Amino acid sequence: MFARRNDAGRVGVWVVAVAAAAGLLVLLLQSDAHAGQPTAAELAAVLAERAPLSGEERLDAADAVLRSEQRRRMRSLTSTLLATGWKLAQGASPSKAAKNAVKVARQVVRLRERSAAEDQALDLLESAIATDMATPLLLERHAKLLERERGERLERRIQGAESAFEAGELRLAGLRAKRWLALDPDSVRAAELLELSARRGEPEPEQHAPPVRDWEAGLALALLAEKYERAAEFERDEPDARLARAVAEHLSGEHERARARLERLGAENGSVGKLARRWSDSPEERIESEFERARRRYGTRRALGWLGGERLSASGFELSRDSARAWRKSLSVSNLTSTPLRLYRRWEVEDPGMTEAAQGYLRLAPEGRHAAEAAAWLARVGAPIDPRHRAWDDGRFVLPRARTAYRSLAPEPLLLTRAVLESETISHGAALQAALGDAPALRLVPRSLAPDALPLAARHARALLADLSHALQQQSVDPHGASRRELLLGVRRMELALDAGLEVVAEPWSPRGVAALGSIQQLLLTDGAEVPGSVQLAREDGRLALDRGFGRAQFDCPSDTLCIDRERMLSGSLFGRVETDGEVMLGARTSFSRASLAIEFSRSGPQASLVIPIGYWLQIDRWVPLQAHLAVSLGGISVDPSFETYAAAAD
Amino acid sequence: MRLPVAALLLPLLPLAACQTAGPPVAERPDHSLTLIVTELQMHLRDDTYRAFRARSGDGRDVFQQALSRLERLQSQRAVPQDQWGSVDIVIEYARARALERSRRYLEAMASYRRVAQVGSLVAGRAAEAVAVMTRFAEHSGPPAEPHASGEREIEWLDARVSGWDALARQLSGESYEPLALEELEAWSMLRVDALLRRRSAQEAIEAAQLLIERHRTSKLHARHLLRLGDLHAEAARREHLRSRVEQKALDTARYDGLLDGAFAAYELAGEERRPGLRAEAAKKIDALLAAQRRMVSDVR
Repeated sequence: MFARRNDAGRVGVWVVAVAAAAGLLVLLLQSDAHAGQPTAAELAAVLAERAPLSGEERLDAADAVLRSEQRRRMRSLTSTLLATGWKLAQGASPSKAAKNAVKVARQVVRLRERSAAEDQALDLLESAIATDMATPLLLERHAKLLERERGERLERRIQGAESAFEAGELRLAGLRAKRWLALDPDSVRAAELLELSARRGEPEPEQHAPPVRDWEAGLALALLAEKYERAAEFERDEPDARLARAVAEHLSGEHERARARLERLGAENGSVGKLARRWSDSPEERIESEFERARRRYGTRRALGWLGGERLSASGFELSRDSARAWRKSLSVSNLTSTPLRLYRRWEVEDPGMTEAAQGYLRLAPEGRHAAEAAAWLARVGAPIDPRHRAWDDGRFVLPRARTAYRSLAPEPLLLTRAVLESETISHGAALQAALGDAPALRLVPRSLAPDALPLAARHARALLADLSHALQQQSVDPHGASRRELLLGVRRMELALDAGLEVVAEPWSPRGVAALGSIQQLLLTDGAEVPGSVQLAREDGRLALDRGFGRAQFDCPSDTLCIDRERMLSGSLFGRVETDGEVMLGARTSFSRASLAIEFSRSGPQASLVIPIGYWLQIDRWVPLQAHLAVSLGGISVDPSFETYAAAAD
Repeated sequence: MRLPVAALLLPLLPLAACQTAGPPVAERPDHSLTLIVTELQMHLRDDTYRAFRARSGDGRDVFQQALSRLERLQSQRAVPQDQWGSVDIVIEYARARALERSRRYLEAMASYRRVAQVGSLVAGRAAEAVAVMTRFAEHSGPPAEPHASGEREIEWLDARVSGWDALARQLSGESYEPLALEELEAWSMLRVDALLRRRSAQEAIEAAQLLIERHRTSKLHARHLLRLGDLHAEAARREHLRSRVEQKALDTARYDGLLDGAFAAYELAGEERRPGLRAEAAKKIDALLAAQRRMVSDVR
């Protein structure tokens, strides 16, 4: 067993070495792998916005886009390889090793797959061709990309046609085979599929209608003339005559008798049996059973919610991996201790399915036996009887406000922290600081009615926006909650608003203070939530965590706002944790240029950990995002590498 | 001693013969006149304006299916009208009813007229139906000649809509009311399209809102909401395009208002119970969000 572990370790070390060598080789072959540089895609976007571009410039931009995508894929593969190798060297279980091997294999296969970057490159090249600026090299690159695009489309069409044919959807298979032939006219298989689909799709030869029997005209006439009593008295034993009698009874209001007759006829073969079975399934009964099913489901979900909270209520009643995970997570000691509180507070599950069932019931059976219960449910959850009610006002149709969160084209407010205004790159910063007062941030908004808002003269506002744009590009101020590019676009939109004659005002802004008692109570009742404020309070995996930061923006950037901050060289936070087993831990964390140091104190003694972003410091993190984790405790010292890609580095 | 396999199967031959031949034609009621009329009569009361038309087991409209079976029966009998017996009258009357529900009013009118001329238990009903079908046929069909202009087309559509509106009100509570309402709805939908083509997106939006108001109980209500969403999205797109072409600042308040209208309409349509429509509404919301994201990043 040890020998096997040693073998695995050796394999792991080899994988790490090979991956590192591959990463470094690629790094040496590429000239622009410097951290913090704008990505090639961004450069291409900037280039493309500057018109007019020559053919060579467009080719360069297209190549930059393609190279950027290829590098991204290689970086991802290198990281996975390194992480896999390290896990193997550490003696990872065979299942984990297999999973990682599959992941690596998948990424290797994806290296050759077509990407959205190729579409972008095609767009760039095609506009050069359209304006007669194509060079032979550009045309060659364009043809190559076009061929790859055609190949991908053809592959999709082949798969689509084959799968539709296998699923018996002949019309669809025929259509897809035609599209396949349009791309590949010589394909024998496509022609064969087209023919097979057409042949099998043909309607069955029509059956010869049976001769009309003597008694049929009388019965049919009675039905058509709506003389249902007369039709119901027709004494014939043929199945179709008995079906006609059942329908006559039904149409004359004798529903129970008709239903009994239809149920008996349901045992017949052929069309009579089929129709009888379809008609005997009373719609009224269907409505009742649907509502009862929704009610049972709601009851189960609520009971599970009382026991284990939101997560268990949402997926605890299924037979799935999610459900098993929900049970495992929800049955922690700290979560179960909240059960009496949930029961006492009569914690409620949000069940849109039940609301929908109640609305459907009242629409289809307003006098039904569950009508009062359905109406009471809707009243309790505050839902309208008609789900489309919110669009109606005294019989008139009025579109309500949309609930979908979309980005408006109107300029978004810009939030500048005190640190930004104190920056020397912002001219007139002192005047704005006076408007700031005690607030930690200033908000620039187009038009405002706030009493303490400071209207900015157009030229001052323009100067401020130009400073901000420059500072963002020089990285002397930093985005907070959005990317640098988004921030730059936001500043540009504000400039355009100024050009369009909008007035910009600056108003002091403060984050929400200490979390409201109600939201803390809610946090204790549910799981996986957090309450933002100057002190962050979070609960996840049964653990309660408090966090108070310093040296950085002390708020979450509000929605529909773009925030600009200035990161200090040194920032950090004080934190506390209450674990599921009751262990309390206190600590402090500080960071400097993406390195971080944390010190914790708990019952098991002090512990310090240091994270060193080696990849970032060596400026190779775009290829080898290597971090070293050093931990020191009473138990000893441990060093571990990690290969996480920095999200921020891509910015 | 080894017997050939065929010899073992010999005793089963009579049984196999019975299986392939089936019951005599007269006892097979699958396409009998009784069955066709029974199924037709069961669905003639359906409110085809508020609910979707019933489908047969093979997915065809029950009225279309009844019509083709009745016509096959009629062609097999090949009895001239002057020699019609009660069976032929029943077939022709049932055919007229299927034609009327298939919205082929002129043919239905001719068919009812033949039944009324021959005389039977249903002659009186057929004569009444002739009067209704005549009015329906008057308001149906394409224009006599192509429209001279866009305004003429809209005037013609306005006349159609008001004609059907009046008919639907006159027939309120009768079995023909759902048909008249279906026609009114279809012509109103055409009018919305014509307004978008010939006048402006804003007028089309107003017409679509009126359509939704008038047809609140229609089975197509959610579909009208999707259309209203599309019209808002189209109007927003035009607004943006105009600002680019005319090189003037985009009226973001108006643009956002239109976009909000599109999202709100799609959301309302997404509250429909039918999963297909829900999925369609969700896809439209996603597509509009993607387009909007592109617009937001497309800053000059």
